[in-house]
Amino acid sequence: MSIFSRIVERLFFLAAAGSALLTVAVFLLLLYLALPLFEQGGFWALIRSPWDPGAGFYGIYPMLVGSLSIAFLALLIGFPLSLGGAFFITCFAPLFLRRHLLNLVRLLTGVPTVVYSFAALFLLVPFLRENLTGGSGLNILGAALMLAVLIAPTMIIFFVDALRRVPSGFLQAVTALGGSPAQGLVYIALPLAWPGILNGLLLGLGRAMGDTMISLMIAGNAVALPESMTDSARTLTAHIALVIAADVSSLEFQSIFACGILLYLFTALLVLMVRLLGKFPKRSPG
Amino acid sequence: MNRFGELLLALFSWCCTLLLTATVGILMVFLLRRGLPAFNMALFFGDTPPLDALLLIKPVFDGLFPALFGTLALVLVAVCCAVPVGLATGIYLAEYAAVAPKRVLNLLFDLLAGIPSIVVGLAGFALAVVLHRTFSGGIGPCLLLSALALAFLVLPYLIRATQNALEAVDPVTRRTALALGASKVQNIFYVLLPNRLADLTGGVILAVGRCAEDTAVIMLTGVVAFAGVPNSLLRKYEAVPFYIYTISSQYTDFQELQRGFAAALVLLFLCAALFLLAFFIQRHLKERLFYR
Amino acid sequence: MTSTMSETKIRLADFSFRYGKSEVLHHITAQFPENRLTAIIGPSGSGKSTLLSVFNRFWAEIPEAKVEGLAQLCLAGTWQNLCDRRAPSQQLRRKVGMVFQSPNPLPMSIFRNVAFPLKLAGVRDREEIAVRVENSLRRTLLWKEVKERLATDARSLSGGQQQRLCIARSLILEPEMLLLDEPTSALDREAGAGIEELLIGLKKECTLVLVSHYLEQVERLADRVFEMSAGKLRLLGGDRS
Repeated sequence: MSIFSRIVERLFFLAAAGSALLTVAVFLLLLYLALPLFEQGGFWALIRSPWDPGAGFYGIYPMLVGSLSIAFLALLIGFPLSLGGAFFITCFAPLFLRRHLLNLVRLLTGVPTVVYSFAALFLLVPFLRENLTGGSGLNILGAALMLAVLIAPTMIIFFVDALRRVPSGFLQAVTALGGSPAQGLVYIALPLAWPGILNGLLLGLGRAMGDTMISLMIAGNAVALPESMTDSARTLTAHIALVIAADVSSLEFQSIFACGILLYLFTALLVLMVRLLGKFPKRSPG
Repeated sequence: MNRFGELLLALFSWCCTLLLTATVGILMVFLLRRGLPAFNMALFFGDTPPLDALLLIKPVFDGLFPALFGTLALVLVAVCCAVPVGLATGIYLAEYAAVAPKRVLNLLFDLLAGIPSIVVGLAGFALAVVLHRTFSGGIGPCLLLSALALAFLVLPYLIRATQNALEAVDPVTRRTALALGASKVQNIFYVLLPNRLADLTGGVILAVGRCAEDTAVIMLTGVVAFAGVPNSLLRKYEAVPFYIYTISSQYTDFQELQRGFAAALVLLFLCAALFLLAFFIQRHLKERLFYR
Repeated sequence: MTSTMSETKIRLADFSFRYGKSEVLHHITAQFPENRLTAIIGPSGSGKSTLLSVFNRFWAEIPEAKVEGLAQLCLAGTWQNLCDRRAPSQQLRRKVGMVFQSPNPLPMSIFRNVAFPLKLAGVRDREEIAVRVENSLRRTLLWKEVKERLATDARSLSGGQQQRLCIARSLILEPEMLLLDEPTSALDREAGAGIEELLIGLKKECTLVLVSHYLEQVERLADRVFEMSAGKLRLLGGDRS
C-alpha cells in the first residue's frame, strides 16, 4: 500500500476516534466543573431543593419539574396530532397530496425554533393572556403548545417511515380479502410498526426536553415550583441560558453544570431506550 | 373495526392534519403580515448608506447587516471545521470499522446527535472556563468558540449523511474500480464519493441550515447584542437568531419590534431556501456532473 | 493431458472456501492452462462466482471469508499465493481483469471509462493514454462504433457495446488473465455473439476463465471445461486444445 493511502486511512481513523472521544469529553468536562458539588455531597441535594438565592438555596428541582412537565405536556398534545398526520399521509390523504405533504413536513423540520418562538410570543401569548389563562400569558401551556408544533414534523416523519416499512404484500393481502385501507392500517401496519412509532416518540421527547428557545421565550421562567398548566415555569435549558447571561456567583454558577449533566444523562437514557427498541423481536400482528 | 370506527379514524386524521397545517399557516401569515412592511434597505443597513456598509467603510447601527455578516462568518467557519471531520469519520464507519468498534462508535454518535444544543453550548463555555483557569488569558467566548461548538453540534449529521451515502452504493459499482486495481482509498475518492456527491452535498447544506438557525449554542459562547461587523475570530459578534431573541426580550418601540419580525422572516427565508436547495440537489443533480 | 499442453496459470490443491460457518467450496484440486479459455459451468449458487473471487483476491474484501489449502496464480513467471489475506491485491488485480455479469460502466464518458484504470495506476502522459485507449477499443472491436463520440456518456451505449467497453477497460492494463462472470447473460443473442467472437480472438494472448451456464456457449468457446456442483469442481471431457 502506498504511503499516501496509509496516511489517508490513518486520518480517517483519527477523525472517527477524535469525534468519539469528544462525545465523552463533553460529559467529562461538565462533570469536572460540577465536581465541587459532588464533593460537598450537594449534587443530589441540588436536584431536590428549591431555588432561593436569598436563603442560600440554589436547587434546580423547580427547573427539573418545569422541563419534565413542559416536555410531557408537549408530547401529550403532539403525539396524537403527529399520529393523525402520519395516518393521513400514509392512508387517508388523496394520492396526489401525499408526496407534497411529506415534503412540506420535511420543510417544517427546518423552521428555526427562534422564529417559532418569536411568532408565538406575539400571537399565541396575547391570545392565551386574554382568553384562557390570564396573567402574563407566559406559561407552561403556551410553551407546550408551541413545542408540540415544533416536534410534530420530526415525529410524523418517523411515523410515516415506520408505517411505510411494513411490507406492501401484507397490505395487498388485506385489500385482496376485501379489507379497507383503514383496516389494513389498524390490523396490520400499526402492530408491525409500533417499535418505529415508539422510536419517533422518544426522539420527539428528546427534542422537547432539549429545546431552549421556546421555553426561554414563552414559559415565563419563574423559579417557583409550578403547580398548574397556567403557571409560569423555568426549564433546565432556559436556566442554563439565563444564569450564564446573569452575574456569575459560585454556587449559582455550578448549578448550571448540574443542569447540563441532567440533560446529557436524560438524552443518553433516551438513546439507549431507542437502541434497546431496535433489538426488540418483531411481534407478529395479531 | 366497523364502518363507524373507520370513519372516526379518517376524521381524526383529517382533523390532526388540518389543525397542524392551520397552526403553522397562521403563525407564518402572522409573521409575513408583520414583517414584510419592514422589509427595506433600512432593515439591513439602518441609516448607513448600503455601499459604505458593504465595503465596511462605515459601521451599521440599528441594522441587520452586522448580524447577517456574523452568521455568515459563523456558518463558514463551523462548516469548514465540521465537514472534513464528519466526512472522514463517516468514511471510517462505512468502509473501515470492524463490527465491534462500529457498534461502539454508532452508539456514541447517536448519543452525540441527541445532546441538546444548549448542552453543546455549555460545553463550549466550559471549555473557555477551563482554558481560562489553566492558562491565564486563554480564549474567552468568541466567534471561533461558537463556530467550534456549532461544528460539534452538526458533526453527527455529517457523519450519518456520509455513512448512509456510502453504504447505499450498490455492490457492482463498489467492486468496479477494485477489479481494475484501485486501492481502497482510490475507490473511495474516485468512485464511491462521486457516486453519492448529491447526497453528501445535501447533507452539508442541511448542516449549514442547522448552524445558521441555532440560538442556544451561540448565546453561551460569545454572541452579543451589539458588536458591529466582526473583524477577528477571537472577538464577540452578532448573529441573526440572537438578534431576533434580543429584540423579543428588550424592544423599546414599535420600529424595533418591526425589525424583529423582519429579521425572523429573513432567517425563515434563509433556512427554507437552504432546505429547498438541498432538496433540489438530492433530487436533480446527476452524479455524472461530478466525475468530469 | 498431452505434451503440447501449455503452462499452468492457476493451480489449486485441496482448496476449500468457507463463508462464515458454511463451506462453499470443498477440497478443490485443479489446473487452469495459460492462454486458453477454461470454462466453469454449473447451476447458480454452486460456487462458480466464489471461485472467481479467489482468482482476483476479491475474497479478501469479505471479512467472513476463510480459505484453506493451496491456490496459486502465475504472474510474469512468478507464483503468487492467493490465500494470504493480507497480501497486496492491487498489482495482482491490474493483471487479472474481471468482467461482470451485467455491464458496469462508470457514469463518465466512454473515453474516461476506458482510461480510468490508467488513472488508478498513475499514468499521466496524455498521449500514451490516448494511444492505449484507442488500442483497447480496437481490440474489443468497438473503435469504429465509438470513435466519433468518445466524450459521450458510456451509459448511452447499447448493452452489448457497454459490455465490450468494460472488456476494453480491463484490457487497457494488458492483463495476463481475464475473469468473465457470465458476461453474456444480461445481453441479447446478437450482442452475446459479438462478445463470443471477441473472446475467441483474445484467448491467444490472454488466459480466460469463463463462468457460464449455457452449455452450448461453453462448447463453442472452451478448451477445457469444469463442472461446479455444490462446491465441488470436476473436469468434464478432455482437453480440446
